[in-house]
Amino acid sequence: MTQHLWDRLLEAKSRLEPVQSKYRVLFEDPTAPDEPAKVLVPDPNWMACALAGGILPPIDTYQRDRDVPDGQPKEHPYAEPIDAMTEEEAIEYLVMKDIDPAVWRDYQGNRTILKIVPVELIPNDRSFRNAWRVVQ
Amino acid sequence: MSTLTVSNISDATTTVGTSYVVNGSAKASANINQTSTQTIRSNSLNTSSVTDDGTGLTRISYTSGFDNTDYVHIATAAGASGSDGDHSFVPHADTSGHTTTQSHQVRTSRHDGTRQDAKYLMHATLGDLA
Repeated sequence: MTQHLWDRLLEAKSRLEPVQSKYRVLFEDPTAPDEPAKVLVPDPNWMACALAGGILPPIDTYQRDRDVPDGQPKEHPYAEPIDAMTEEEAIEYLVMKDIDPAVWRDYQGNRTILKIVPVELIPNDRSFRNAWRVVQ
Repeated sequence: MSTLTVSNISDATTTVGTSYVVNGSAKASANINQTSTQTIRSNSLNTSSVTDDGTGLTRISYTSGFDNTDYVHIATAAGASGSDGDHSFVPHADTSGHTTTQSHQVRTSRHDGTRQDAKYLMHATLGDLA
């Protein structure tokens, strides 16, 4: 039987070096147009698991579990782990896991509302953080 | 990996059931730098990403999700001066924070309610995993 995902994460943390990603995901929420652009930051221990392979479940298990009600069995903890990904593939996986499908799948407007960018392109100065938008 | 299956743990004077240890352990944790370009420091557990939603607003996503949305979230903020979070606190609103079994939003604020980025935002989550 496949080990629980949390146990696999604990085991991985004991042997894998964390990897700080060189990417960030900049996006806007089309259902909340007045909110500023958001920035997704990958976790370094998660990225180490993604690059190593044999730890994380298939992305479609998370997507199906979004619709599972509280307290009902979920698929992703015991799903068969997937193979190693490149950093770019890992970022795409994370977009589909941690960003609402309304942003990356369902949006049909003309604005560009999602960009994967090098971390250097995210401003250090947060003085006007709540005015950030995705540059068109 | 080998498994130790026991009902109780004792230090020779006090005995507790292993369920206290299993259920009482934090299932996720992270230390996040909210200022500058945000980063997650390397000692995190069961966190897939954080999302900078704006000043003082950070969404935490879990790799191994929870069984239900009643999990317990504990967070604190740290900084070197009032301007970077050492005077802030971390409320958690479930009405507009869109808490799910896979993520929730934390909000660092000054005591007057104004959102504020903290030099370090630290959180731990307890509850039943899916």
